[in-house]
Amino acid sequence: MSNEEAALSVQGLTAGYGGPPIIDQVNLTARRGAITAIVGPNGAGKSTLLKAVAGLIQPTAGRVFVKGKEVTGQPVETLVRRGIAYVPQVENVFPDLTIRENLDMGGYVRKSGVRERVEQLFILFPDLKVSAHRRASTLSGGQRTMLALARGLMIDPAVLILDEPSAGLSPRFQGLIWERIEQIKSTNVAVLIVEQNTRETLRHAQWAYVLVLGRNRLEGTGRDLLEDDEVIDLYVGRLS
Amino acid sequence: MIQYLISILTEGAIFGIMALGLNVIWGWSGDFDLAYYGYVALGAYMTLVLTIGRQPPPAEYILGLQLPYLVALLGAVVSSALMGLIVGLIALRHLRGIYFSIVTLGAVYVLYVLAGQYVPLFDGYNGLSGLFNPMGDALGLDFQSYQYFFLGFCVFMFILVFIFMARISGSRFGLALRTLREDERAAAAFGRDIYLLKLRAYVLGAAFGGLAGGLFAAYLSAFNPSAWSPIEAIILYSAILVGGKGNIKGVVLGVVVMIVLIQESTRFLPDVPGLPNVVPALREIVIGAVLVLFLRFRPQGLLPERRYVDRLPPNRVDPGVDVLPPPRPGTPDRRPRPARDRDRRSTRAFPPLPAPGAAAGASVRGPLAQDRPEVSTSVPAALVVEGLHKHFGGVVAVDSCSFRVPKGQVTGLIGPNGAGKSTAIDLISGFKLPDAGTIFFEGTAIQGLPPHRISRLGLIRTFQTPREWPGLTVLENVLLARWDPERETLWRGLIGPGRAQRSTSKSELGRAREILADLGLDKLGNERAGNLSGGQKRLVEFARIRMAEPQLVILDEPMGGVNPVLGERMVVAIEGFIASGTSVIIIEHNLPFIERVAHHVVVMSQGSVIATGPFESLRSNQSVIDAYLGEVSGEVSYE
Amino acid sequence: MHEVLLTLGFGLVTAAILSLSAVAFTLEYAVTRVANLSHGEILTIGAYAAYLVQQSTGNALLAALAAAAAGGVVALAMHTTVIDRFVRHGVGTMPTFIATLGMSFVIQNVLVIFFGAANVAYTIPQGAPHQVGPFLWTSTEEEIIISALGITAVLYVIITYTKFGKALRAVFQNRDLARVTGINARLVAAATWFLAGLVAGYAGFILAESVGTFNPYFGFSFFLITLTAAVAGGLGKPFSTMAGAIIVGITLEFTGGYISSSYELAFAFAILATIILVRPRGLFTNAGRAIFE
Repeated sequence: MSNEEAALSVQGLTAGYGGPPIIDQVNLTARRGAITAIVGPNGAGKSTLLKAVAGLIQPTAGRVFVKGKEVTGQPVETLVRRGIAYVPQVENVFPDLTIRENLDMGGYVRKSGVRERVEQLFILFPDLKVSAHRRASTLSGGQRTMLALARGLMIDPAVLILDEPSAGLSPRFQGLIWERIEQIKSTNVAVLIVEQNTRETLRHAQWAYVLVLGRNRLEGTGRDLLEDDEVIDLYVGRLS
Repeated sequence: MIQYLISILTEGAIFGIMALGLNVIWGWSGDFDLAYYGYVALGAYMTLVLTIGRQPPPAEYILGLQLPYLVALLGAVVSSALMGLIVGLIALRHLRGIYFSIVTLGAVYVLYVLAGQYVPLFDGYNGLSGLFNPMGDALGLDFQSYQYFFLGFCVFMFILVFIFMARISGSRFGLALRTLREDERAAAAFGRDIYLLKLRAYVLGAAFGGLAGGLFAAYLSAFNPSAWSPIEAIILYSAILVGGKGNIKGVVLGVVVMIVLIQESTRFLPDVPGLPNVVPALREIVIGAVLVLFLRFRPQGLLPERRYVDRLPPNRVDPGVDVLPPPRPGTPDRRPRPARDRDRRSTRAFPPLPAPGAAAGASVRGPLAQDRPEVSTSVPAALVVEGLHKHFGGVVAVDSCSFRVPKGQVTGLIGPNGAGKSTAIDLISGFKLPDAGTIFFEGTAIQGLPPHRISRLGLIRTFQTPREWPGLTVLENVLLARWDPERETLWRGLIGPGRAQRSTSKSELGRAREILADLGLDKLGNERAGNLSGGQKRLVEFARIRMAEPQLVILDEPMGGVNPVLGERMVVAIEGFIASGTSVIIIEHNLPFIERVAHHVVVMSQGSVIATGPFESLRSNQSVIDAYLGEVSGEVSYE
Repeated sequence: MHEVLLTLGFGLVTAAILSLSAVAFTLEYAVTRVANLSHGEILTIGAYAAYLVQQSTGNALLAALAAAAAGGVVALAMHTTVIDRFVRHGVGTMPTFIATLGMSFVIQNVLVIFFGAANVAYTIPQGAPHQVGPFLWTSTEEEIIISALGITAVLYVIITYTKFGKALRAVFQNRDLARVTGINARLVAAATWFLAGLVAGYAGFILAESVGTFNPYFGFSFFLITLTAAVAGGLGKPFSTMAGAIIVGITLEFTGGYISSSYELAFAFAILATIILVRPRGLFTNAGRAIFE
């Protein structure tokens, strides 16, 4: 492993919703220019982990570092300014705003360069440019996900956290999303992703963590885990 | 001093009746009714116009009869019940939450304004007076003894009301009411006519308000707009909340604390010079402040609602149950509903079941369902859906959807998100109205029927999130699964056995326990259902279904949010349904699970059915693959 | 026809006051999803503040500013001490709603302690009525309408064009998503309540001026009409709420004129009930009403 500083480093993270913790002592590292995946059976706490890292839930234990600086316990609105962009699974766009307005909103914390950034993103997401004036509520599921992704990218994040972006999308759109994610990765962003289609995810991931019942179980390169028997036993069904 | 004590106790008894009446509407039925004090006021007014006879002008008011006091009381009860019926008919049909409260607030203000402004009604701001010592003359009591008598009378009425409420509380009617408060959709899915039930509770509460009002009029011997203000209902609410919402003993405690102690204890405080209103206003401030504090820190009140406890020891200890992860509270009780729905959706997509044999060491249970011989067309249909159509605004959710569900089998309903499966289920179960199409259930057309009617015909559904009745115990959840029209009436609640353990027939109780034991839940019978883990709640739902013995059960993503370890238990439960003659429809994303249990699969995409047949045949169906099963991308090109 | 225009004119005055009160209420709702039943008390406090300043300085402008300031402070206090804590702790909609009623009770009685329950006469020289186009207004009434228009214009600019306004709209549409884009929702909520309080406090002042008398309960009665306007416009939507207020204000004036103004409250509620039953999301949206939809 390179000794380049990890964009995101999580140590011993424990968090829940007020009762017993959903995730317990979780560790992970996400590097720039790489896709880091979190996979695991249902109930493993993957979404909770993302929310805790993104600052939507307060962890009860553990530490989080972004670009080497500690940000443990800071709420999401502050973490955005530190370069963490979080794309939720549902309700991830402002329905009554247009595409352009959604993107402007995404650039809320930018001191400057909102317009330029929007233009850059229109190059990466040409479909959005065509419909820039349309309200987000009129978009299809796939288009909405693209918009949510683009919105996250407005801040030029160091870390992009994606919570099941391809959930509910047709395979065609799933393919398109992965294309975009690969492109995003090549712009040196650290992509942290939880996804449902495990095989597909492990194919694209440089590094992956398997989470079971809120704890780290396995980790390794996507390729290695794809062939690991234990992983297959755990949850990868015969069909996905 | 004695005089003072008598008046506090009399007031306490009257307010006790008011609070108990309001508890039916708020504590049990769950409606924050702001019109309540209006029923009290109306009761007071009506009692007066029925007893004070005709007084000389300029006094102007309706009726003006001189009936015996007890008859007038009856008149008060009836008129308040009638007003309650009118308000309830309007407000309870479509409104809940703050909109319901606002409309009821409007109703009481209309009464307030009319009473104060429309003189011919109750003499406007002068109000009515002249009700002195009702019944006292008939009994030949002097003033002093009358006070004792009236106190006794009020306490007697209070005790009657308390007994009435105690009977209702433990009765099936009372429990059915509470299911409305806990989860209306689930109540409708299990056959309760929500509107009718809430209306009954509302009118009942209003009637008691009227009774209290009638007593109040005799106590004050007069009544006018300055004697009441609609917003004084807040005092009753604080009493109920502080004492214990839903618990009649708590309500009485609350009245003692908030109304009697606080109101009366401050009566002895000296007036502050220069600020003449301090003491009365201070009382109200304390009441308001205590209300806010309790809402935040102790919403269940001093005496939380007590649940029925099943005293029979569980006769089986199931190790499987203990292996489950600890319950995860925090979502239902603490967070506002919108957040809960968000959390729910984030766990909707999840990976498939472990291959048979991998789950907790359980052995493979029988062949795959689909490997059993399938006799599709010659098997009678439990459900036939034809041309179902539903749109929301410009979006078509279900588009000419048609399929057939064979009787006595498990039919899987699969398809990508947004395919319209859940909407189709909502249409079938009556929770949404179709724009077009027909639905035949066991030969009866059910499209357009409300959910409770469909449920009573034998079709029960679950929801994407477990919809147990969180404030009731697991056992109560199961007992209430069966809609029992004879036992759930108010009348039965009164004259039948009081406590739930006696009001349920022994066999039903035994059956419930048996079902819980079968599902490994017997140790949790007395546990508050809201405290269970997601998987345990699902099992409770299955127990309810077993109890209700429907002809058809629709399971909406039963594996959602459930630990895979429970998957095997669910397969067993589903096989149990089939064995008892219930047809099953399952919506699921977990394809290996569907493959495991479903004899027959219907695939939906973009609102219509694109394929049906045994699972194996669908694997090679290109349109199904394209729409849903998907392939590993990369090499395939996309348009 | 002349009668109609006159009534319309008076209706516009009522509508002006109503729109300020209703917009403030709806802003409070937009940013916390709480229907604040103690909103009327902000107006009452504004009226008392203005009265006190008027008594000591005789300056109406100072009185108006005092009303706004007092309103702002009270609303902010409401938010910080109760509403925000309830929201953050995850207390549900209904218990929070009930709590605002409790707050209302507390505030009304605090005012009773300090000022007594009796009516306070608030007389400001109104000036003689004069023709303004087809309407007959006193100079005070003119000021009310002009100031209402002015405040509305300022609010419009703030909500539509400023960064704060955008943040406000974002929080209304989706609080969590707004936070995810870096907006500090709590701060935005607090600032919005302060702003709403300024507007509502001022509304209390002009209401007292226009009616000529007030007491600790007058804000609550007016609030019931405010509620009608806010629901007519759709909770959380400031601009349609203004339209709703105008409609309601004028309607009330007409029904009051032709039947009797003492039944105003009853009419307002009749209108309110009708709207809620037919179009609960406001007159200007297409919404279903069955409880399961």
